[in-house]
Amino acid sequence: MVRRPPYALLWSLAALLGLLAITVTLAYQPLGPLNGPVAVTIATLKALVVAAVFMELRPSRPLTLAVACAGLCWLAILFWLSSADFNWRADVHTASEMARVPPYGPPLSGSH
Amino acid sequence: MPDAFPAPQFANLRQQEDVARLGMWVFLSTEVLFFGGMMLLYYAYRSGYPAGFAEAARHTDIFIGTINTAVLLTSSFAVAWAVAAAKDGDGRLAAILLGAAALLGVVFLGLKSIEYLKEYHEHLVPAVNFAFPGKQANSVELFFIFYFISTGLHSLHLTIGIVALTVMALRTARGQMTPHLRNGVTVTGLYWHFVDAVWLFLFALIYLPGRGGT
Amino acid sequence: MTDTNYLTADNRLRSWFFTTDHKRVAILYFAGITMFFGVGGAAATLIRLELATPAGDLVSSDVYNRLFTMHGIVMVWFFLIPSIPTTMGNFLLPLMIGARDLAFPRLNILSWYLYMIGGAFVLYALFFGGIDTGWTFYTPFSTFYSNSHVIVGIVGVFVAGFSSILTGLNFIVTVHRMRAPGLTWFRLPIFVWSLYSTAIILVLATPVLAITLLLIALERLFGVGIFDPRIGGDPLLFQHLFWFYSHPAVYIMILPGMGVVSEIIPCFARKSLFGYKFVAWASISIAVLGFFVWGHHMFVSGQSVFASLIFSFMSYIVAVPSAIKVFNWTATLHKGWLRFDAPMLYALAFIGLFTIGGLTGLFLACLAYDIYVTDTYFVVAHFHYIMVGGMVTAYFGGLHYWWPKITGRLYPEYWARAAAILIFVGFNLTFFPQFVLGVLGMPRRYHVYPPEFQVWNVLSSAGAAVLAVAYLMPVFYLGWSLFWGRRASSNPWNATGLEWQTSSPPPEHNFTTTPTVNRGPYGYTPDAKAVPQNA
Repeated sequence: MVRRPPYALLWSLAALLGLLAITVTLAYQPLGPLNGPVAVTIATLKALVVAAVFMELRPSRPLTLAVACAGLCWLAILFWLSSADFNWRADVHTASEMARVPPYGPPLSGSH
Repeated sequence: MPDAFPAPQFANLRQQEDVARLGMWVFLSTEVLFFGGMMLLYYAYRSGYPAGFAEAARHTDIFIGTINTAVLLTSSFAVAWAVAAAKDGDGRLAAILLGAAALLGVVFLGLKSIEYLKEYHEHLVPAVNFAFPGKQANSVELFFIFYFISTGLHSLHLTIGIVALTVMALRTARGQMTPHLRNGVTVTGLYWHFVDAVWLFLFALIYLPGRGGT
Repeated sequence: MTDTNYLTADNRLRSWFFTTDHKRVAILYFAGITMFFGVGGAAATLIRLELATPAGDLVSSDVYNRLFTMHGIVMVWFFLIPSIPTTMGNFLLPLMIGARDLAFPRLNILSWYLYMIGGAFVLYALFFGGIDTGWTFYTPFSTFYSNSHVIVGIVGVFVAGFSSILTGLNFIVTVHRMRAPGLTWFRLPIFVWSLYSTAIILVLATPVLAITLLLIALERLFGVGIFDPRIGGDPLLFQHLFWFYSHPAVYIMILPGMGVVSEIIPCFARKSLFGYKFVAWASISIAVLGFFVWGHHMFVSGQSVFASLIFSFMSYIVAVPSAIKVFNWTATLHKGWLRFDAPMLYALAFIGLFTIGGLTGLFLACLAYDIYVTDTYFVVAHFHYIMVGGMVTAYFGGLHYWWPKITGRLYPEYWARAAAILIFVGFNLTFFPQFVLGVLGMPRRYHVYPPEFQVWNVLSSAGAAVLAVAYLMPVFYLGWSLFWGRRASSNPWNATGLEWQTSSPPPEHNFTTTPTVNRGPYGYTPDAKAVPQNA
C-alpha cells in the first residue's frame, strides 16, 4: 500500500533540511552586517524550493507565475518607498531639533 | 456521479481545475501582503534599533524554532506527496499523508505553546508581564510585540490549515477520487505550503539575528 | 421563448438570501449600498447644517467629530468602494463576457454577507455613541486617547475588507478564465478592463488595510505599543501602512466610474471609443501607478523630504493615464451623433467635474503648494469633486443606462434629465465654494470658524440642500418605474455590448447559448447603427 514518494519531492525535502542546517550554522558565524541578508537569502531559497516543487509553480502557466509573484512585487513597493522615509529621516538640509532625536532621527547604530 | 461533471458556470472539468488553482493563488497573494505588512514593521524597527533587535533575538529558543521549521518542512513534503497521490487516484494514500501532515501541524502548535510558556516565565510577553533589564528594553519590547503578533497570526493560519487538512483527509479516505475532490486537495495543499513558506521567513527574522557573536 | 427571468425564477425568500446567481447578488448589494448612501448622506446633512453658522451651535465639537468620522467611514467603505463593482460589476461582468456566472458564485454571496455584517458593526458603533478619530484612524489618538467605539468600527471595516477581497478575486479569475469564445482581451468592453484593474487593487491593497486595522485594535485592546513613541514605536509607520491601502482605494472608487463613462459615451455619441487600447492600458496603469503615490497624504507628517520628493513626482505621473482617458472621451464626442439622454448627461458631467477634481489634485501634489492647503477645505473640495462629482455621478449614470436591462423597465426620461441637471447645479454650489474656503485658510474637521468664512459656507450648505433634493428624485421616479414604467426591450439604447443581446431582464442563466464573439465592443457604424459583438 505504501508507495515510493516522487523523487523530486524527496530531493526537495533533503535540500530544504540541508538549507535549514546551513542557515542555522551561518547564523552563529561572525559575518557582521551580512548575517541579516544571508539569513533572508537562504529563507528565500527555501521558499523558492517550496513554491517551485511543492506548489508546482515550475510546470505551471505564465499567469499563475505572474499572480504568485504579484504579491511579492507589491510588497517590494511598500518596502522601498516606506524605507525612503524612515531610512532617510535625518536629511542634512532640513534637520531640526526633532530630527536628531530617535525615533525621528538617524538610526541607532552600535550600542546606545 | 454529480461530482464528475463541472459546476454549471464552467464549460469543462479542465476549466474548473484551472479556476480553482488560480483562485487559490490570488488568495495567497493577498496573504503575502497581509503578512508583508507585519514584515514592514520588522524592517523599519530593525533598521532603527539593530542592537535591540539582536539582543531580543538572542532570547528566543532557537532549538524549538529549528525543530519546528523541520516539522513544517516535513509536513509540506507529506502534503505535496498527498497531492501527487490524489492525482494518481489513490485516495487512501492521500488520506494517510494529509492526516500525517495535520498531525505534524499539531506537533508544531504544541512546541509553540511550550515556547510561549517559556517566554511567559522569562517576562518577555508585552502588555502581560514584560520586564527587561538594560538600555535595550524598549526595542526588545518592540521585537517581542512583533514576535507574538506574527507567530500568533501564523499559528492561527496553521490551525485553519490543520482543520482543512483533516477535513480533506476524511473525505479522501473513502478512496473515491473525483475531480472535485482532487481540486480540493490541491488548493488545500497550496494553502498549507504557503503557511510553511511564511514560517521560513519568520524563522529567519526571529531566531537567527544576534547570534553572530558581535 | 421563456417567460421567466432571473427576477421571477423563484419567489421564495430563501432563493434570494441563498442565491448564487450573480444578478441577484447584485440586487442584494444594491439594497445595502442604497441604505448606506442614505446613512452617509444623513451625516453630511447634519454637517452642512452645522457649518451654516460660524459658531458651534447645532452640535458639540465631540459630536461633530463623530459626524464627520461616520460620514467618512460609511461613504468610503460602505458606499464608494463597493458601489459600482458589486452592483453593476456583479450584474454585468458575466453578461459582458458571455459567461453564465462568475467563477466562484458561492464566494459572491458570501462577500455580500460579509459586507452586511461589517456594516452592522459600523451601524452599531454609530448608534451607540459613534467614533471620533476621523475615517483615517490616526495613532496615537485611535490607539490610546480616543474614548469612542474604535474597535467596533474597526471590526466592521475589517470584515467589509474581506468582502472586497473576495469580489476582487472573483473578478480577476473570471476575466482571465471565463471569456466567451472569440473574446480576446482587446475585444473586451472598457467596463471590463476597469473592473479588472479595480480588482487588482482590491486584491493587493486591502490585505494591508486588514493588518493595519488589526494592529490598531491590538494596540488599543491590549496596550501593545506597536506604534507607541514611548517605547520607540513610530506613528508614521501606521500612516504608511494605512495610506498604502487608502490611496489605491481611491482608484478602486474611480476606475469603475471611468469604465461606466467609457460605455455610455460611445453609445450616446454613436461612435466607437477613440483610442480603445490607450484607454485599456490607461486603466491598468492607474491601478499600478496608484500604488506609488501614497506618501502625498503625508507631506507634513514628518516624513523625510526624500520620500516626499518621490511621492510628489509619482503623483504627477499618475495623473497622465487619467488625462489620457479624458482626451479619448472628448475625442469620441467629437463629430458624434450626440443624444442627451440622462446617462449621457451624467457622463458629460463626470468628464467636467472629474477634470476639475483631478487638476486640483495636481495642485496638492506640488510640495510647496500642499504645505499651505493641506488639511484645509481645498483638500475636501478636491476629493469631493472626484468622489461625488466623478464617482457618484458615474454611479447614477450607469444606474440609468442599465436600469432597463436590470429591471426590464424604462424610467421616465424627463424626470431623469431634470434630476441630472439639478445634481450638477447642486453639486457645484456645494463644493466650489469649498475650494475658495481652503485657499482662504479654513481648516477641515472644524465646525467653529471665523465669521468671514460664513458667506462661502452658507453657499455650500445651500448647495447641499439642492443636492439632497436632487439625489432623492431618482428614489421616487426609479421606484415608480418598477411598477408603472414601460417595459423595456432587450436593447432600448441600441447599444453594441453582449449584455444587450439577451432579454431585459436577462434569464437566469444569462444566455440560451454561449455567444461567439467576432468583433470589438464599440461597433457603431457611421450611419449610427450598432453592430453587436456576436454578429
